[in-house]
Amino acid sequence: MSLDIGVEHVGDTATISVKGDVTIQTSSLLRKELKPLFASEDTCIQVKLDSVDFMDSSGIAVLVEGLQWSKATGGKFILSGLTPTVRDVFELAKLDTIFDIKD
Amino acid sequence: MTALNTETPKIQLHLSGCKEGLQALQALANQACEGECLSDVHRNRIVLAMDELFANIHKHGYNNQGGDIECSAARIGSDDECLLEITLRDFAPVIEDVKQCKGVNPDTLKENPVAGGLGMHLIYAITESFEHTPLEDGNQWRLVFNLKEEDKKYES
Repeated sequence: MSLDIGVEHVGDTATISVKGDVTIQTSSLLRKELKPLFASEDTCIQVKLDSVDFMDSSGIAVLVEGLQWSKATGGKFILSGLTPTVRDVFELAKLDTIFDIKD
Repeated sequence: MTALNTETPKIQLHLSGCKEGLQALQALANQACEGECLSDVHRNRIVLAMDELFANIHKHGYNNQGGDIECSAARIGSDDECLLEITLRDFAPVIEDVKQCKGVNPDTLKENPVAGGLGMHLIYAITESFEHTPLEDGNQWRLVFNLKEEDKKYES
């Protein structure tokens, strides 16, 4: 179980690409990459999840921190490329309408 | 991790630690579903529920220090019912009232986004039934899954 994370900055948008399973074991790595972005000049953070097949509630909890950032600053926090299994978890958690989710 | 008996419908594992625990439970869930024509989404839900329960035991029961968990899986009910029962038994401090572990209400997250506490909600959402039994020296957790694809609960 490993998690590969890449961050790219274009203009005022930070795009974070995640590859692997996001679980209690790996979610701290995602948090470690996301947290500095919350304190940066970026006004939009996009999290690409097209290479994530498994995410549990610890991963969702990290992404909820993005919601908190968005609510506090007015910035955009976008999730994109959800695989069917990850999208299903968001639907089960009733979070699919709360997050800004793009294809 | 030791597989004690993989020839019968029951599979028992002794786990300790987070990494090996998650991997073993994922393997157990996949093995228990073998032979079933389950979609990736359906299979993922079963693995997810076990992952969430294990994570809760590891984090709250064993305070991230690791500990033994016994696990068994068995098909129950008639062939028509197509139910999978998974039982986890831990040796962590006894929980007298499982309602204390209910977690966050996702309906309130829009107004008040709180990180964490969704695990129990997911387990209840996925399983046909989820029961906790306090034991003298730990806790027993029983999860029952419906393996029928056409079941309304799995339509999304």
